[in-house]
Amino acid sequence: MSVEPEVPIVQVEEVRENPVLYKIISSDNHVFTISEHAVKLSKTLWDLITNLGLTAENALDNPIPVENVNGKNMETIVQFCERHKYDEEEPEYTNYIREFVLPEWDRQLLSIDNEELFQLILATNYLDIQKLMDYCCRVIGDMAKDKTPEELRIIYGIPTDAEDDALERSASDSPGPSG
Amino acid sequence: MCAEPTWQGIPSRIKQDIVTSLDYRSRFRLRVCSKSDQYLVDNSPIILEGLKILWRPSGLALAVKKDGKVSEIHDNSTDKLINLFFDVFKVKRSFVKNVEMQFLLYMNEIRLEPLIARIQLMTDHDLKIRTNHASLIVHGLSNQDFTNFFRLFDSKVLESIKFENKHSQDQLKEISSFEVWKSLRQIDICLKQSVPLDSLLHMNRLKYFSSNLSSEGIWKLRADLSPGFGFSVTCGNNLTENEVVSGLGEQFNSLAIRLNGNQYELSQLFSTLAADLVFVVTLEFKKLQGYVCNRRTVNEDFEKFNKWDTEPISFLRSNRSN
Repeated sequence: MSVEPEVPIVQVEEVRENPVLYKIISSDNHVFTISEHAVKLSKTLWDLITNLGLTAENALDNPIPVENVNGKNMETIVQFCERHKYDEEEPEYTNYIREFVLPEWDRQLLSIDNEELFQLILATNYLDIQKLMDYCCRVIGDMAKDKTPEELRIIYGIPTDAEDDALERSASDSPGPSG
Repeated sequence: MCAEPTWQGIPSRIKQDIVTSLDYRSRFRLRVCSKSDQYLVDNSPIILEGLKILWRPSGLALAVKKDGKVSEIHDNSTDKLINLFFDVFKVKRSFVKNVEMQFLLYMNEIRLEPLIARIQLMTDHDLKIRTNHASLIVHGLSNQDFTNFFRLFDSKVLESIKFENKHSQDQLKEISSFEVWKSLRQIDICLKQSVPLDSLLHMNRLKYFSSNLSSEGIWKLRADLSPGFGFSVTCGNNLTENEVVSGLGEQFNSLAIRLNGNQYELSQLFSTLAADLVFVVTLEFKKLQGYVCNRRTVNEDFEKFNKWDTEPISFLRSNRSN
């Protein structure tokens, strides 16, 4: 009777639950911990980590300051990245179309007021997270459905041409920093 | 991050993505919000599932399909609808999966001048129609105008085309030398006209008329027995069963079968080099069809193949939004 060699069985989930962690500090000094798989979704952060030469050993001792993103947005972004860290790679654009269904979990995450959503878009753009950007764009696009131009102006905060001209005039009339 | 967290503060590249995801109506409602949004909308690509100029009892209409819904625009002015159709492609990244145009002879009141003028304008501005599937049933276009129209399609994305215009041998030879023809994977030529066989051999699905199909021609046609490959040829000559079988290659084992309960003059199943694939061939009333099917689902696969040429126009069968 042959005896089976003792091979340690490593569960995939165990490996997943033991990730390398990084610390990120938001513009208002909130500290967030994010796993390596999750942080890779942000091209900007991952480039920074690679360029700084952060490793599993020194990552937690070297928090990464992100001056352009506040704590509230960073919290949403970290939640999003942790949620999607094991997603299969993004499909490439096929003939300019990337078709996707916005999952309910993400729709809930992005159910925030318009100003926060626009802030999140700017933060997502800065951190270069393609999937979150696609989802934010979808949510903003969905807001426009069945709305009149007047309603769109209110939802998106679009000034009329007259208001826009008046703003421009007052900006050019006001004295500059030197004057 | 100095930009304002408002619509105005979002980088224009991102706003273009948002505009591109909007449905047709929302897009035009946003367009009238301000001058900058008008500029934004006019310069954002339009991505659609389908765009079709068609005839309704009330006159010409433009059907637009996006997100599974079809909207129709009706207008008495042919010029206006043709302009709307071509305006979609004014922004270079615009893309429409299925494009169709139906100008039939009985539509007496339709003038082709606006179409010819827009074809010329698109050519002059080096603009392309970016679509995967095109169906052009445009009666009354001259050979030269059709050639110019055909050239508008972007060879990088066009996969299949269906057309019904009658062409001379010389013109077909000219068209088949274009890059856009060489990149085609499927073709459906409706009217009887002899297309040079060699110009079709790079495609994996073809439907056409051959004035004189020989065993040698059949041998050339069946050279690529990869999944999805199929042909449907209406022959001008009387093909015999022996010619078909010898053309298909006797080295393969063949077996007479009955398909979907139909009685064909000839229906044979040929084995292929792939164990799970068979090549099914039928002959009926001068129409020779061959299709690579899965061994287990021969009847279903062949049934689907019989309908493939109508797939591109099926986009209008979904729900009309209004």
